[in-house]
Amino acid sequence: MKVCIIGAGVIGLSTAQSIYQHFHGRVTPLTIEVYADVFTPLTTSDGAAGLWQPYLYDKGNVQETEWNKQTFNYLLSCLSSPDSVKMGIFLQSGYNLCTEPMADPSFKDAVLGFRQLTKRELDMFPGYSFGWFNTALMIEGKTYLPWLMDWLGQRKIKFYQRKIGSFQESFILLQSGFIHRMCAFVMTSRSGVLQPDPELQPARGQIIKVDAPWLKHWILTHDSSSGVYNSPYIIPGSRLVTLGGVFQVGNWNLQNSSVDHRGIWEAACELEPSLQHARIVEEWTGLRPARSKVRLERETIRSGPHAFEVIHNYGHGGFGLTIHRGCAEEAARLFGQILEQKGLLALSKSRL
Amino acid sequence: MQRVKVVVVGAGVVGLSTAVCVAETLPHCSVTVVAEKFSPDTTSDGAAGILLPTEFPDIPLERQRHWFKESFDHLLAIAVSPQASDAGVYLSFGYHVFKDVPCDKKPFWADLVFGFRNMTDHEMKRFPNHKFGQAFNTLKCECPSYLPWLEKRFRAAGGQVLHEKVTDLHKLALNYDAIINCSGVGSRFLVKDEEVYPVRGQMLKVNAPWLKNFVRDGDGKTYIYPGISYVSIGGTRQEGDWRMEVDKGDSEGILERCSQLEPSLRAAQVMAEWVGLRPGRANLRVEREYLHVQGRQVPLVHNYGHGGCGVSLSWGTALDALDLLRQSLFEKPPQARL
Repeated sequence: MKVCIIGAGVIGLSTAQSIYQHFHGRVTPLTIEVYADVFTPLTTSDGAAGLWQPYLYDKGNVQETEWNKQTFNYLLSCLSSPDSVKMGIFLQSGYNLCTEPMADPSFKDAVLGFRQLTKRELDMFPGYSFGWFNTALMIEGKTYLPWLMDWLGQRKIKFYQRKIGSFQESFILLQSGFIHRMCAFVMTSRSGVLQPDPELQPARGQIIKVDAPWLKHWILTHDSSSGVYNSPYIIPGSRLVTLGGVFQVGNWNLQNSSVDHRGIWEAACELEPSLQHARIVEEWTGLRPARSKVRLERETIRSGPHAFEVIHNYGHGGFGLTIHRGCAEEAARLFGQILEQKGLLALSKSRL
Repeated sequence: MQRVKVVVVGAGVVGLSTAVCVAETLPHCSVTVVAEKFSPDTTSDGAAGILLPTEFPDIPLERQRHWFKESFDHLLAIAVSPQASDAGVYLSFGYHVFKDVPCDKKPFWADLVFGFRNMTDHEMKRFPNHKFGQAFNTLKCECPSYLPWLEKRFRAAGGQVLHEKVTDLHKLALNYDAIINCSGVGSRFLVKDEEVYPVRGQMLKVNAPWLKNFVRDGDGKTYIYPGISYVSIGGTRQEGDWRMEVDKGDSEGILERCSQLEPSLRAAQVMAEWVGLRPGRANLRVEREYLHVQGRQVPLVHNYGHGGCGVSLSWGTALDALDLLRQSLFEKPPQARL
């Protein structure tokens, strides 16, 4: 059985990992390959600050809340492993500030020590009258992705740097010597162009990274009028602090904008005056794969005489790192279904 | 009008805080700080600087609360200002964990920090050897930055600085109208206070920038305080121990205990080891006496014995010392020096 994963961001790599973990040894041979035009450190996942936090409200997507929680618990369990530093995982606490009272967020039970902010604390943030404090996790793409690639490489997963422009192209790739029906595709957001989905849009984000090691807590602001991530945020990392607050739907421009730079910088300095003395180190723009909800489902695609099993796992917007493990496990479960249908799984039931 | 000459002995966090209070509040005083050691060589420089006081047995709780509240509020104003990074003052969240449930589950300062609460079961899972815990947001004030920042402020207010070891207060009184003694553990010799004793503390500076929250064991001997350039891990509390040399056995013990609290520390590189002598005393001494020198009565205000609470109580006790000085100068205006 051969699995081709298209996209090597956190979703692609973690899906490869979950599939290996569940089916290696149960299906022989099992070949897993990852195709992508960009790999770490050039993926969208690499640019993200890496804070585990879903959007405040899931709008009824309880499945997503569940996947987020699974990811949190998985990452928390990794903390006690000697590899936690090499994985780029660590605890961090911080503030969510609102301009008006808001209902409790979807993640309040998943995180640690969730509580309301007291008036004295809110006095530190003029303009914000309500908010929360809790402990969550950081998962830095620039460290996590290389760790994942290493993990996969040790288990003989192969990586191919290729820009795949269409399904036809990918089929041609595989024609040499493989049995086509023994193949499945996992489509992550990078592959959005392969099968145009009008619901998938870029949500452009721009960030500034500064050297401000006295900052130990993230500060996220929420303004219902401006929308998610369009309000300033400050997220300390293991080395640098990420400043952001841009979420432009429909904007494909990967160039850094000086207008956005000014907006981000001024808003961050207003929120955290000590930043005025921070040294700017980097600037970056990325396109979040935004969608009304994550597309995580199977599809059988026919092309001429061939039928291909596809698992879609894309559209994670600004919460890819936050939700990755839950989605990867679900994708692996869907893969298990494919294996069962093809009669490739031994008599023992899928562990999933 | 001739200015009143005030001298502050000691340039640690208590000495400089007191000097700044006097220099900024009493314009008719000219203030000089005299000390053998200045930052980065003071005891204060090695302290992690987390605002977390302990209780003195014989001082009214209201007064201790006042000291802590003044210190906290003063530093909070700096933390939210553009000066925060220069002064080395910022917010810090963390846990206070206990192997046995403490009798006093709510210390006197609980409402003075932010969000003080018990830890949840979920939070306690990371500390299988501990039964109980408290979580709160407080401040961290790093003296290697804060002391130079205070000194700048002191000079801006007209203060002067002298690098000299003081061994005789009577001799010092010949040249000044008032003395404030902030000599920390040195008070044992300077004012022959036998109640003062060193509480030796050893700590390690480690490179672990992924650590953001502090953890302290209630016994005070194991702590992890993430800082600006390094994480301070420790420690020891050896009473009566004057040794300033690093003890390798202490270092090993610290690394082992802290790694148990925070496993990722095993991947951290040790940058340096440091030893300091906390100025221990059953109770902090802030009080005034008079030295009789050549027919003059020279007020001598004491502000020492802060133990491990130097940073935590620095501004509050400095304000108290300022008050005592003001009272003395009013009650017995300085006479001309010969």
